Amino acid sequence: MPNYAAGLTRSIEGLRLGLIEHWYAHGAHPDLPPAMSAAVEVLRGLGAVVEPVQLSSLRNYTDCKTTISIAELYAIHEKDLKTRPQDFGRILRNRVLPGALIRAEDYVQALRWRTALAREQAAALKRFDALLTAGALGVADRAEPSQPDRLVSVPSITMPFSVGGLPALAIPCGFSRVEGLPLSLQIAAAPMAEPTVLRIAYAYQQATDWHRRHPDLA
Amino acid sequence: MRTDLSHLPPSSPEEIRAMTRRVGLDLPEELMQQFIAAWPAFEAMVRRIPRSLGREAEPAHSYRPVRIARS
Repeated sequence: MPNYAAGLTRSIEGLRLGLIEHWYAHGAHPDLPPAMSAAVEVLRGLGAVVEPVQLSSLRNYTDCKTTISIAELYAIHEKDLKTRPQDFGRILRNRVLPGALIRAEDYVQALRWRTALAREQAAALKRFDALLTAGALGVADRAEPSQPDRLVSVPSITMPFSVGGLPALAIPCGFSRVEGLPLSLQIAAAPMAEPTVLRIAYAYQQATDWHRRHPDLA
Repeated sequence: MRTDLSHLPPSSPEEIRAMTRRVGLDLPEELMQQFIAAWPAFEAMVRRIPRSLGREAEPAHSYRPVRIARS
């Protein structure tokens, strides 16, 4: 296990960062794109070179990942879902039960697609030391069990890096004006490049104080 | 040339019930109604998966005999 803390304080000057803007440019919370732009400027101010990079659509990544994960989740929980489905929470149950209807050919095609998408990410990471995008497309939902499951209708921007098996983290990069809730920046790098991800996040948090602020929950 | 199955019509509630029966799911009616409401989004997702990948796109998972032998 590498000593992740050892390189934490190294400068990020000269690091090349690929910005995946098209994943959050449309349909995201209106305060997110300006918050991301400001975060990019902070990183540039620290000496990083940030350039746009185009990958497959966020929808492609989430379709691939969700197909694989619900099939595997269902396989793991099949016995309980068949014998006591009412003991699962509504949102989790309705996310996992569809795995029962994923056919073997769908699952295998999704695995094959995963290979193609992972190669795309690997190719991008030959040009860049790390990739940047938003950490969420909106702000946190209210904790209401009866509300609709947004994951089904809104793609999850944390899924793509799971497809490629990349280390990633999300850190606060602003607050929404209306709700007063955190917005976030996501950083990912090549497999086993956790020190790079942590180093960029640490540098960003030394230059900003978003991570020290708290939403007003009153 | 079409590369996915998104042209297929969505399954009807009766078809969804039949599919769940076929895989051995016997849900209480309330949960079945929730499943019938949830399934179309997943069905659309699965149908967007490309079906024309080249042979080089092998599954990403792999069986690692050395790891199994050492466990």
